[in-house]
Amino acid sequence: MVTSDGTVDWGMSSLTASDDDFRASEIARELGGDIVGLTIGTGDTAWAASRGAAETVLISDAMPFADAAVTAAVLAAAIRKIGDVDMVLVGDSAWEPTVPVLLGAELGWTSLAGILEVKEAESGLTVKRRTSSTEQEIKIAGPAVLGIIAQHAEETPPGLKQVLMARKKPVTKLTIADLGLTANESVVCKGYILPGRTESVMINGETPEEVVRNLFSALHEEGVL
Amino acid sequence: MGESAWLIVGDFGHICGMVSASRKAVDVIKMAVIGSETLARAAAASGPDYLYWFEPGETIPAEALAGEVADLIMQERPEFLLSLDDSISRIIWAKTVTAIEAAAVGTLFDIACLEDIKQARRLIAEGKSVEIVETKKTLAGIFDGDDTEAAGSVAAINRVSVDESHAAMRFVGGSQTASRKDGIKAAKRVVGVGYGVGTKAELEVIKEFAHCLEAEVGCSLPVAKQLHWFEEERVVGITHNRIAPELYIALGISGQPQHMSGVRDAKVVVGINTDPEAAIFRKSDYGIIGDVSKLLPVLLDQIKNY
Repeated sequence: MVTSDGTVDWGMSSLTASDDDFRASEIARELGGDIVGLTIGTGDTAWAASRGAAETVLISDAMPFADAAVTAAVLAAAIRKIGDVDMVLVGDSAWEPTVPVLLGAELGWTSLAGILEVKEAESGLTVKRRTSSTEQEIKIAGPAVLGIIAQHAEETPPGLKQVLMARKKPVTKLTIADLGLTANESVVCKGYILPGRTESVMINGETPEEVVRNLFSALHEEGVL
Repeated sequence: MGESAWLIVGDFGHICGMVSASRKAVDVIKMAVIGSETLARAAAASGPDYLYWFEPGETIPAEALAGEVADLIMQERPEFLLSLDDSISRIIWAKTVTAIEAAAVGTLFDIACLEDIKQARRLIAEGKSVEIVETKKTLAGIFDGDDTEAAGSVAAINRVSVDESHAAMRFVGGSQTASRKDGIKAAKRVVGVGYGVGTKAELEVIKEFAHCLEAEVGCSLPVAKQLHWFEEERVVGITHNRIAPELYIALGISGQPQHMSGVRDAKVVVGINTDPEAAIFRKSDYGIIGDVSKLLPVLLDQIKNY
């Protein structure tokens, strides 16, 4: 919730998965093998379990830290504890562009972001990724952390029955202390301000003809028409 | 020497904006550029004080050199470590963040240095609020602020020799030079079609209007995925096409962040929507509250006679 002076209260909001996470779960199913869901804090332990994961690990006392490197370190410790992991697939959301890449660096594994597709290849994997100007295919050696981007929203979310079944799958609850870590926050929030507002200049007129004339005249003045 | 910032550039983006945001906070700006010579030259023109160029060649992706970049930056303790927001720059940035144990504050658009405290401002809650965060460690973040004009000075390019032999990643089939810079990506003018356009019957008028305007037609994601009016290659948005036309006219587009992030480099954005509360009116330069289907014939008529 954002108050009138810009202060943000996250109190009522819980962590939710993005379309990018959905695409990551889809790729995990396509590749086959054992899938483990990993989430923190208020994350839904049935989310991955209803999308192919056999079990889920929850770090119950961790929420996203102000220092994303700490969040990534907690996730990395959990992945090491799970053990025998070949690949981490994580949604590379535009709104959280740091945790997936920091997780790869923290584990010291092969790490790429902006991934559209992952395919098994001879002695490794081939991934397709998008840059600002092109799409590229890259052959990588595992273990790897791959930040996945979605092309569209999830079309058929799991139904109630699948979610109920997923709730019966095993969940391992860990704490930050169980992972042998102490989460030291080195970043502090000093407060909030309202962003500078950039309202549109509204184009008006008595008739549609006048509105369009006024618009074209404004665009001409801008030098774009 | 005073405070310093290291900037990571692995792809084209808001390089000048990142340099000018850093210039306000530190005395010395150093830049690591990982990519082609064209990228290195563009980065040099943004005016950093020092520029180190790592050329990955044609067989390995830039990310394979992340360790070498981290080794160089580790020799110093910069106050700030910033990166562009593309997927290549972020991977290389993360390697250095971990190596120097920096504090990673996420995205940011402004930084400041107050003695040993480093501060950043970042947009949160879908851009509705600005959070001010600070740390005593090296402050690391992803720059997502606006771009600016180049300051005028051009940096000398120091080429760093790289070792490709141990790369854990390689391009399939050698070099990758294919470019997608055509269609709406290269267009000077783009007309965007959203759900609010109404019926498919309007499309022919929109196409004719775009033709007369010498514009390409783009669309929002739901228009391609749910209505199937266009192929996905015409979708404008952060995960499909980021475009930078001189003029973007959004017809019946509500202004969701996913879509608007794709046009943030457009020079002039016009939004037309029936809903006065639509987010498009907070994110466009000019707005018209009105029904697209009623305005379209007038737009077409007047552009024909323009």
